[in-house]
Amino acid sequence: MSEFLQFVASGVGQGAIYGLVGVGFVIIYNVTGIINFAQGHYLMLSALAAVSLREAGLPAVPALLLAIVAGALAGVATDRLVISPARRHSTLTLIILTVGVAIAVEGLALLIWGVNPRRYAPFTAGPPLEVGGAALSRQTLWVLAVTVAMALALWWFFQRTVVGKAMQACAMNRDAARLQAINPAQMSLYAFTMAAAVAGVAGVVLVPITSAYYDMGIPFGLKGFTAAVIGGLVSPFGALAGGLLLGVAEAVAVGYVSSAMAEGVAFAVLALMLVLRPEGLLAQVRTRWA
Amino acid sequence: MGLRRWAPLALWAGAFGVGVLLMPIADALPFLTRANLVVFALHGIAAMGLTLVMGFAGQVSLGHAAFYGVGAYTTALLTAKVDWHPLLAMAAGAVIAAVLAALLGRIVFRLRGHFLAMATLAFGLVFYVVMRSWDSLTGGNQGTGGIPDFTLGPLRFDSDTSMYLLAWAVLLLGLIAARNLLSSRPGRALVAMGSSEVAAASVGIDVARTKMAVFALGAVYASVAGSLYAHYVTYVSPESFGLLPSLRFLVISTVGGIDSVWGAPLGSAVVVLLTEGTRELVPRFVSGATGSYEIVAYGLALVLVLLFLPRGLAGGAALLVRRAAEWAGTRRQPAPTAALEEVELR
Repeated sequence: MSEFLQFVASGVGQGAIYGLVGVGFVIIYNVTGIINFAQGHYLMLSALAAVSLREAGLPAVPALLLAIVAGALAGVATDRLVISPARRHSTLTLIILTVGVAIAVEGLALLIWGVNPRRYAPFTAGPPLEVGGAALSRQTLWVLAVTVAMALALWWFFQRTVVGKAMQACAMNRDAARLQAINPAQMSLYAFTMAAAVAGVAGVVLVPITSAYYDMGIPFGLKGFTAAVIGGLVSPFGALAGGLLLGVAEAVAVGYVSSAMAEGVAFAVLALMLVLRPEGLLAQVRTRWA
Repeated sequence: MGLRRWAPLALWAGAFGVGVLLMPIADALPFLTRANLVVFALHGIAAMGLTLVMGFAGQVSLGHAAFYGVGAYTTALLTAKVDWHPLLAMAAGAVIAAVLAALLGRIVFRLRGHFLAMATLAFGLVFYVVMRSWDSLTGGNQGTGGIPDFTLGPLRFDSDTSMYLLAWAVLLLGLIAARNLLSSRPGRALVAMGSSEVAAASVGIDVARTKMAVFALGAVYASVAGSLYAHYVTYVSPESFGLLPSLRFLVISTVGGIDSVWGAPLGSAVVVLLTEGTRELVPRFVSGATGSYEIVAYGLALVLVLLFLPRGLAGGAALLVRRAAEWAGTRRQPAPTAALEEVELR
């Protein structure tokens, strides 16, 4: 039992990251109908930017904030330079465009940062904490705290602000939202910016756990997408829950079977979800964003 | 009447001639070698399968290289380990690829359009991981070698030149087969489906089945190219069938244009030049550049072509030809084509 608890403890940190990436998929998909392949790449950009800013001697807080802003700007650029000019094209074209953005960004990151993984120290030094017989690293606690803070912020945004309500309206019915004078191009810009910023936050808190490397975009993107699919691809909070489930499932599979399983779990879960329950495990939260 | 009968034949013979003429030019042109010409032809064959899938099923596959890999590994194992005839091994690979694609299609074509991209991405990655970890069968990371030359009766294809001629001939056969298919009854169903799924369904076309069939056909093209590739390099390893090759096929099909069967060879030529060009030029500007940085060029090409030439190079060329024909006063009816834009997604 305590062994199982330990696997859960090591899985929740990764899982929260998948969930945060998944939130971006949900926001963009619901507002624009696009599956954004560059989603994991915002995480990669912010993570590598944070490493570079820290190495340049900036104190932790401004460095991380700047890195998140850099990630969000990449989201703005995706929407303004690529998605917005192609708005009249089919969704299929738009999806292929995001694939183009993703591989161009990954190639640029390779040219700028090279192939070697980089990292910085955990936010607070010290031995892991003991929680109910399982050891929980301090950085994992940071990841969880940040994830909870993001969830609260998202809840506040979607429930209490006009822009949030407008985006929720787009998610419910894009045409009806348009009839209420909600501008789809503007909503698309907000969606890409938010999705990139949330992924950026995930990126900067993740670095001390897994390091940052130029080709982390696709694996984290695919796992974030799996998290979003578990949540039915309609609810940001479903995606967060899906991420935690996936992270724990991965850790358990690695612990009880073998570390070679890590890659396979997400793909197997994604395949099973698509075959058995494409509407997600959490269907009852459909279109409810909070 | 005589002209009508012979004109297509002359056209194809001419196309074959152009391909042959490329050979002496290749040595003179920058970035090109005969080995690259083989790559160009092989990728053109595989991407033609993806072009059919994208153009007519209106679906994007990000795991196309897995089917290329199915052909390559089947050929490698059957010819090197159990001594099958290359043609037989190639046929076996094509059957396996078609069955796999049909199974995958059965699952994913029930879903809304957008899921297929992610599902095929996952399928491609699973294939890659399986090839890498199934040591006893595939040789794992080291791959498997000792693949004999491709033979056809007394002919043995053991050099860049002969392999290129073979691949180029297969590419043209693939083109002819695709064109003939499109003017047959099931082919016309495909074209109808490409322009409107709803309209096609309303005249009794089983959309899901037709999509599955075209997905399987696309896999067969990739598998045949993969088999030829295995004979050419005599050694296969998982790296050649991972995510990057799948993305390369996507770039080839999109840049070439999915309206026309000529898109794949055109796109393949562009991508070979892009790859070799970046490999040669980037190290001059970025010192110590390593890894597959040609993906920058792939990504930019994909975005720029879709933004400014959404029907790809073949679509652009067709438009030019039509304009020229109109200008010359010989108006022709444009053939019905399916554009990415017209494909309906739900």
